[in-house]
Amino acid sequence: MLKNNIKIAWRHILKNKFISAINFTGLVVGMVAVLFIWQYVAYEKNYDKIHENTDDVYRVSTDRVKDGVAFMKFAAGAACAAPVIAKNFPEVENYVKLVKSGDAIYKRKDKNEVTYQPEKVYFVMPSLFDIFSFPLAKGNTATCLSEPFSAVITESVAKKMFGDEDPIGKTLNRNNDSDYKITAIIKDAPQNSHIKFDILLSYITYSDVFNSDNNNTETGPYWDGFLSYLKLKSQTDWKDLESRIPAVMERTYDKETSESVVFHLQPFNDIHLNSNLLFETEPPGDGNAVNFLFLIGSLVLIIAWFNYVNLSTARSELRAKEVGVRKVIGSDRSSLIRQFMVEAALMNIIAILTALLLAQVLAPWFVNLIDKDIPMSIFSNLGLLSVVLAVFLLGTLLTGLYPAFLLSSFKPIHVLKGSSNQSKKNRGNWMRKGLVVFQFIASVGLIASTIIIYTQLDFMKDKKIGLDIEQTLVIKRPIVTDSTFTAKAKTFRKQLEKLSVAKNVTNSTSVPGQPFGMTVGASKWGNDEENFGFHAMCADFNYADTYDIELVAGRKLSKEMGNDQNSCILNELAVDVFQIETPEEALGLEINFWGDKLKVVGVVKNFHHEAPKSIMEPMILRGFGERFSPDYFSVKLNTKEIGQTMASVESIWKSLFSQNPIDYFFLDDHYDQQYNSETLFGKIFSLFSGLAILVSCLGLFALIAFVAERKKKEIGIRKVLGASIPSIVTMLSKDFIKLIFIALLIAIPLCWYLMNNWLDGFAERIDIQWWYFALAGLIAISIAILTMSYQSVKAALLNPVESLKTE
Amino acid sequence: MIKTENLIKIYQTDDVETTALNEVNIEIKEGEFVSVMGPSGCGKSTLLNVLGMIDNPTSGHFYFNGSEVGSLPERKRSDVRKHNLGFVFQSFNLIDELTVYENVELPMLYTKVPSADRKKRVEELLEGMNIMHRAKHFPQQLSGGQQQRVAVARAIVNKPKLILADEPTGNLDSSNGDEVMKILSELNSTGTTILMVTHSQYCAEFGNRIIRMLDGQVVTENVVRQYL
Repeated sequence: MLKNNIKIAWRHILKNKFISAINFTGLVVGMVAVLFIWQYVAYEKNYDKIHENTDDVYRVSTDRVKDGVAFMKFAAGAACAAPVIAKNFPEVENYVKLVKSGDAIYKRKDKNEVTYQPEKVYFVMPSLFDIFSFPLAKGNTATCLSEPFSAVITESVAKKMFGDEDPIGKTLNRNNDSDYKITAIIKDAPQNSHIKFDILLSYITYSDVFNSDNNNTETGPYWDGFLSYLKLKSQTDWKDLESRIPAVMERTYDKETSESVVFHLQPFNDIHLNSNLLFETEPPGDGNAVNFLFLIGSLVLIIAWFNYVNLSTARSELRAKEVGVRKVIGSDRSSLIRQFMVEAALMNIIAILTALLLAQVLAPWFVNLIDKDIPMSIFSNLGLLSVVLAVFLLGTLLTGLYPAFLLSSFKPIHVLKGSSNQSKKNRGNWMRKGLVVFQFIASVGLIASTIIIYTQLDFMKDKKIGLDIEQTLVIKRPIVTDSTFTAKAKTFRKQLEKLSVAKNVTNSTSVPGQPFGMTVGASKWGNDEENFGFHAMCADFNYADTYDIELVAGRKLSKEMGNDQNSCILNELAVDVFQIETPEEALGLEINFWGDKLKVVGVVKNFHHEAPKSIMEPMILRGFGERFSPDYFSVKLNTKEIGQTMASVESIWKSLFSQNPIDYFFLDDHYDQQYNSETLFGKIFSLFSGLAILVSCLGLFALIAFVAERKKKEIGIRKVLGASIPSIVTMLSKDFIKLIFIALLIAIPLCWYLMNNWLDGFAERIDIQWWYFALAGLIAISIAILTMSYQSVKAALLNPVESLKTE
Repeated sequence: MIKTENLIKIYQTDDVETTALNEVNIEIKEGEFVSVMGPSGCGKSTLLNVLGMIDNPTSGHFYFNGSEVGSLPERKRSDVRKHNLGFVFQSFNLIDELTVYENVELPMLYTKVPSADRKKRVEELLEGMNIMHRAKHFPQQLSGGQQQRVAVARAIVNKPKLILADEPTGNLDSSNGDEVMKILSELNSTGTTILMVTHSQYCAEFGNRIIRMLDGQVVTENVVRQYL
């Protein structure tokens, strides 16, 4: 019987080539969309899954709090966090701390010419290997980080620096000033791990050697930059533990400290998608965006499934005779249901095999689009196989069940007499209309959402950020430096100024688009008890001019004032933080900045040092003091002729910092990189919206073709009676246009609600305008009319003699 | 084999009530070949459908082999149907997507006849109907006469006790019509009961009894001359 069912299903597919092709195309497009989106979602959701037993691991984040309000939240927080919590809570089984090491050039001690500049280096405690499961390639994880000046390198660093030689026992020199012995090699962490590194250095080097004179590395509440992970005993109620930390802080520190430093626990597995704090180890993922994309990927497939159901039920009259005959000669309802299910299963299985093949072929393109190194191999991934199976089973059930029940319910007496049951026909019609409405709700919603997403992206990019970042070349400071650096930096700056293409030059410790680099607890001089948190950076007198920052009161830092080493500028938010009424009143205020007495000489308008998607923060811009040196040299160019400019800059660099490769970027591009995740979201969203609309229109195209075919005789008669072509086109399409209008009415509030939620995630956002929906509706209706007009005009143009004869 | 008592069938549409069968009382014995005649709309096809258990009577009794079947639920009727009845239609009603062979085989799939037996039976019937050479063709590749022979083969493949034929020659020319009538007569001569609806007096006389209907009622029942 199954054989018979498969045979007849196959023959049906071949016989109805047009409908089958529409169903097949829709299903394949939908399935490819789901396969891609699923791999992307799985990649994001499986972040950090290389580590076993992380259910009891938590990261400690640090909030800096003023008057009960957290004004800064750090992922890499206070030095004391983990030691204090571990000491006071027996529930803590173990903990590990990591501190990022600054940029450095590493050399092989035995072969000086082999150098490498790793991106990520941490000082880390040996317990890292007890808590996490980074796979070891060589060495002993129990001892490899227990001695000072030990280093663990990844396989790829080993390959780069040592080729086929065994690196264990060899020495790496860091920036010409310290040597580390390689004690172990570990495998590279996968891309989707939020703790990634090239080299690990023993934490004891940092705590007991570099900071031997100061035990703040374990007790300092204001020293940030320490990633702290706790392993709790299983079954520990972590929320309860978290709530008891403030009491411990009160016992350990004075009142001010315990009120201003607040720790939180973040479940390890939630970090990637749900944490976006200062000093994250990498740009965080966006859980909402991932869910959104999963939804629209699935929507494409659901629309394709609905096409199948629509076209199957629309064609039910054509299948009615077969159903009647089968019933008369002995088929019962269940065997008919089985038959129609087999048809759905066959179509789904052909589609999914094609989709798998297509997904494999298109995988490199998709990986390139999303710019993530996702392993897109279908056959190596068990999870994906289960998705394929789920898509197949769910698809077969959804596309097969309703047509199967509808068709098998036909009574042979009705169909053999040629009058299929009117009430069932109506039911099929209503269902079909409902599904068409759903498809258009999805299409209109997706078009409107795409418009809103792109408008928001443009809004952020075009927003006046309060800074001029155009035509600005930024050169990073050299990595390997010595005591002559400050003098050389001055020379470098002077020579840059001399370039004919340079309009302005400035040195600073940060540039727009980069984190400020410093967070400082500053107070009014003489009133140390009232400590406020600020972002801070050092810059020379030319910074405000180079970046065209608007002055509100006072003056800018000035060359004439000896570089204003003891002066600073505040932004308006910082004036508010000091609880000063007007910018003018802030002038002359003396503040305590890490023990330095700085005088406020000017107040500038708030500007977006980081992209407008994040909120603006209170900021102190201070002159360079003795202890600071520039990290960036910015050159405002008066030309777009880059080639010649760069050649001159490089030659100056070589004459001063020959040991270091030059590292530079153009600030506008660099600043725009902050929108990478939003741009990617927009790209994927619009791609899948396009697919959803394509599949919806395929369905509509087939439906109207079907209606035209069924109404061939009516069209013929109407034409004989004198109907015009436009009136026939209207007759055929008006029902669908009505449905699209209904869809529009439902889609608008739904889409408004969802997109409003999405926009709320931005510090500065657009307001949703009525015309976004008008435009979306217009686009959807135009596409639908174009789709329908081909079929309806074709039907209307048919010679009535032909259509009447065929009946 | 078949007995009806006061069989009534009323069709109800929005405002109109049509009495298709009005207190029909007939009896058909095993081995009979009964023809039903009457003008269009007299209820003869309705009678055939009710007796073929593809339609329910509105009231009255219908006994098949002594059991009341008029009020059986669809599943049970389907069961009685597939084991006891064979249908031949005016418009053949072959399934377009199945070959001649598969069309004939289909009823045996529903009665779960083993594969080897099915093959033997289909071949035997197709040989008998002289259409074996067309076994792999699809219905639309066949002439009307050939299609009706396939339909007859399909109707008798499960060796039913009763064949219900609704204008079996209506769509055929006279020579093909004759051929189908001969086949039905031969089946009847081997013991199969046949109930046939027809417009044609000529065809009706192949049977041994003619029931004439008018406005949903049986008006006369005659034994065909040759059986007198």
